[in-house]
Parts: sequence; C-alpha cells; structure tokens
Amino acid sequence: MKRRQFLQTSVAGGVLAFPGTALLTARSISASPPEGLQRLFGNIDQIRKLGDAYLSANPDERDIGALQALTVPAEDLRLAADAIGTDFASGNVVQIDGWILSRTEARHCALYSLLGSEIS
Amino acid sequence: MHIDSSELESSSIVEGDICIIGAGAAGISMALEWIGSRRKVILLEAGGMSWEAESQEQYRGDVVGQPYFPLSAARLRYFGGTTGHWAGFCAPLDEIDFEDRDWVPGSTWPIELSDLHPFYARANKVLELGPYEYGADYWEAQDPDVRRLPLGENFWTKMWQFSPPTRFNLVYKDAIVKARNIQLYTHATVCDIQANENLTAIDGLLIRTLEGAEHHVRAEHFVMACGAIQNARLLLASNRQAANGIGNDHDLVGRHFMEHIEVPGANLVFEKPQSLKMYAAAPRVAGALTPARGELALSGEMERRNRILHGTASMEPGRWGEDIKSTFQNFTPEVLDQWRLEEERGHPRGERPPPSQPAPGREFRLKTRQEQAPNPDSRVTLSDERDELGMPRTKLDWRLTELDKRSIRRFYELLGQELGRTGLGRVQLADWLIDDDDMNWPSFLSGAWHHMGTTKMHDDPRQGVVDADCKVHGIDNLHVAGSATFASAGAPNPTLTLVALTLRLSDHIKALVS
Repeated sequence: MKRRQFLQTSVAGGVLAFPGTALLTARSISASPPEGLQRLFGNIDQIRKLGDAYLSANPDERDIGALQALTVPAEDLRLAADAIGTDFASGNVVQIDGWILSRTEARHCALYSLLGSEIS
Repeated sequence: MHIDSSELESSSIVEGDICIIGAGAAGISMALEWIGSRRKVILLEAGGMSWEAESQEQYRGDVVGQPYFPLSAARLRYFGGTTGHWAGFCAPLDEIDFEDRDWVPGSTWPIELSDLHPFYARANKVLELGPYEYGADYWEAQDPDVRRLPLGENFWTKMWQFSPPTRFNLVYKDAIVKARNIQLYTHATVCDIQANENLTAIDGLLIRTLEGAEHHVRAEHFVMACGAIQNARLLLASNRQAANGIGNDHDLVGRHFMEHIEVPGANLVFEKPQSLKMYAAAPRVAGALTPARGELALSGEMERRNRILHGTASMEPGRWGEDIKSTFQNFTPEVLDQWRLEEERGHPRGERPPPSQPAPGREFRLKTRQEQAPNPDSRVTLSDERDELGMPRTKLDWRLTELDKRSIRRFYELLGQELGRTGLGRVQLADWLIDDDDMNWPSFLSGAWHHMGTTKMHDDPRQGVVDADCKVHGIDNLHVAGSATFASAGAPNPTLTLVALTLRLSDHIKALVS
C-alpha cells in the first residue's frame, strides 16, 4: 500500500458513541482502502464513491466508530481477506452502484470515505 | 423432383403419402429422412429456390408489445428457410428444462432430455457439427489452453458448437431435388387446411400462387414445418370449419410465443488478466471438428433454490459503454441480407478465419442468453390486413414477465458472489438491473430471431396444442415439426433441438405408416 493512500486521523480526548454499541475509548483511528478493491479498480476515487453510496443506503452506519466496531481493520490484510471470503461464502453481500461486494469491503469503502472527508 | 407450382395447371391436385409444409431446417430435415423410402413425400415451399422480394413480402406483419425485428426480415421465405442467414450456434437443452418447475407455469414437457439424446446425435450430423459432445471436459481435453473458470459447484460451463453454418439451400438442394420419391413444390403457399366433417383428420390443403392459381394437396399425413409464427398463422387462418382455427379448441394456438432474451447484463473485472479461450467467440479448438465455446450457467440446484429461469452469460473483452445497441439494431435487415448474399455469391463455407488466442484482459462484458417464461399473453394472432394471397397477416405481441427480469438480476448477483468467494474478481450489474423494484426493460433488449412456442407440447389438450409425438390434439394426421412445439425455450439456440425433434417425429410417422 502506498503511504499517501493511507488515511489517518485521530479523535483526541474524547469518546465515540453510537446507539447499540459499546463506547469506544479514544484512540487513533485509521483506515486504508480495501486492498482487493484498490487493486481491482486501480483508483481511490472509485472506492470513495462506493463508500459514499454505501453510506447513503445505510445512513445508520455513517459513523466512524460504528463502522470500526462492525468490521475488521482493512489494513490487516489476512483478517480482511478472511472476513471478505466469509461474507461471500455466506451471502453477506451488498449491491452498491451495481457492484456485488462483500459487506466487509463495502464498510471498508465507507470508512475510507468518512475518514477522507474528516481530514480534508 | 422439383416442380414450380406457378407452372402447374390451375386446380391441380397433388397427392402423396406424407406432405411437409415448409422447406426450412425442420421440413428439409424431415424430407431427407424419407429419401429412398417407398413413400411419396410432398414438400411444399411458399417461396422459390432463392430469395425473392415479392415472396418475402408475404411475411410482413404487425409488431405490438415489446419492440421486435420486422417480421418480413425475421425469417426467410425460400427453399432452405431461415438457415439462409443463421449464425450456426448449437447446443442441446438441459435437464432442468424438462423438469416440472412449479415456479415456471406452463413449462412442463411431456418428454425428457434422455428421449432426445439419440436424435440430438443425428441432428448434429445434419447441421454439420462435430461429435455429439457438449461437456466442457471433452473440449478441455482437445486443447490445453481451453480451460474453465475455476468456479464452485453452483456454476458450470455450458458448451456451444458452431455449424459452418449449414445453409440448407446449398447443402441439401441436390439431395432433395434428385430424390425420386420427394416432390418439392416451390411457390406453393398453403392458405387453408381442410379437415373432415368431424375435424378429426385433415383431408387436404389449399395452396395458392402469386399468379392467382389454386391447387389442392392430399396426403395421409401432414406435417407443419413453417416456423412458430407461420404455423400459428396458418392454423388460425384455417377457420372456415372451426371458428377459432384448426387445432384451437382450447384457444392455445399462437399463445406462449417465446424468444430468447439477449441483453447486456453486467461487467466483470478479474483480479488478474484472463485469456478465456474457452469462452472466446467461436474459437477453433485444436483437433476439434468444429469451433466450440462456453458460457457460464447456474446449476440446476441453484435455479431451483432461487426459483429463477434458465440462462447463461457469454463473456467478451471490454466493458459495456453508454451507447449500447440491441441485437436488432446491430443486425439490421440490411446486415442480414448481406450475410445471405455473401453465401449466394460463393462465400467459402466453413472457412471463417480462425480467431487468434484472445489477448489476456481483466475486463469483460457479460451478455445474457435466457429463456423467457411461457406466457399465454405473449402471442401470435391474425391482423385485419390480408396479404396478396388473401391470408390474414400476422400480429406479434411479444411480452415478458417479472420473472424474466428477476431471473437475470439474480443470476448476476449470484455470479458476483461466486467470483468474490473464489477471489477471481467482481461483477457490476448493468444499470437497468440495479433497482429491484424496476420491472422495465431497456431499449437495447433483444430477442435472437428464435421463434418458439405457439403450438406447444403437452399431454393435456387444455395445456398444449400438440402431444408428446408432436401430433395436434384431436386430429389424427396433423403434426407439427420445429420449435413451435417447445414447451420451454431453454437457454440455447433452438436449431439443434428443433432438428432433433423433427427427426424424432419422422421416426414416429414412419412407425405409423409401416
């Protein structure tokens, strides 16, 4: 992964909370574009676009902490690949802009999109 | 023997044992089976020995419902029929097509796939195909570069073989014309089917020529082999003795008109570049007699579980762009005419240049080839207008259903899931498939000039026009040959199956007359 494609931000001195999940302590929050999709599409704009579309369809997940709690870190490639494989095998897929994606990679796109907008 | 009906004395009576109406793929396939027999076979062709504008014009008709190709150009009206411009795609139907699928009402056949296997093998020869081998294993064994995509058990690769394509006009004209017991009458348009008083048997046919002459045909057995649209037209128009037409006691003639739905369905992006020789357009496989290619199909188990129709997806390099045209728009009547003319001018048969090994690529466009659900409202009826011979013209009302579209969408959803699971790539549905609630069809929806149904097969006369032997219910000596008898359309192009069914019918009639 290229460093410039790795977005990082932090939520300083506070907590993240969203309905139905435990409180998350303040920590560094990072997100990288889902590796498989990045390789597939070859551009990050497409990943942001998919993330935005996912969030529009799932507004209750428009929360960095919520998304982090719901999915494995995209930068842990092995863990992410396992989760994505499990999603596809179990039918836990979503359709975004016509693309058939695993729920995990869709959330990775959303997280990437959210973090990108926070640091911009 | 060839006789031009326009040269017969008016009111001639033509007599034989078997009369075949229509000299296209079905009619000629049947006639070939009878060469050398002791039976006199009359083969009636409405057109001439070659294409004639005046004759072709009799096929003009109205199109209502889904947009469709002009009826005057969707079929060919001369000896050889529509094989004069067909592309040669051949594959047998599949097991699932013959199953009793409660989610596809009206699709049940009274026969099984195993009943057709011996006839498919014979049809393969008539259509100048390779061995009767349609398993991907066989074709992989012919060429180490031909490999299936490594998908799981939910998907399989259905194989097509490609006929040269056999132009029946060129390939079988001599055999038919030289056969002593076959009498081919050209310019002989059947305008009325005349039954006995009780409508239990056919006594004869009225034929007319464009010059205004009328003749009569008498035979023991009659076989309608005019194609699904014209068969229905002729039965419906033969309404002097039965108000609804011959064989139409249950208002089924003309209904259940089916086409193959051909439409862009999705884009596919592979993780790694793929050559996909197995799926490339008509590759010449080393060591094989004919070109063959595969298309992706969903397993019968998955179609059952998802309660969807049977179809396949072809793969071609590239992505679908903004300016998508339908098959009808790409292959206009003028283009089809060009194909026919190339053949007539001596285009070398079977010598198409072999495509090179496809360049590896990551992006492919997927095109659907799917059956449509049998739909009684999708139908052929008679127009108020009459042609020059006094026959009511055809009105085609091609209609599709919610199940047709839902099946296409679900196929690509499941394919996307499978490609993701295997890590091969991702699938993007075409825009027109994205919205679950949108049941509209795009402007580039196409059929494939495959006319099926209209006299479909069923044991129950209230559900089908012909029985399992292709005999019209209630009429002892009237049979239908061809794709009009299909109870369901299946995924593949119909020619191989319609010839197989015709050969089976021919055997049946031989048993009747022996």
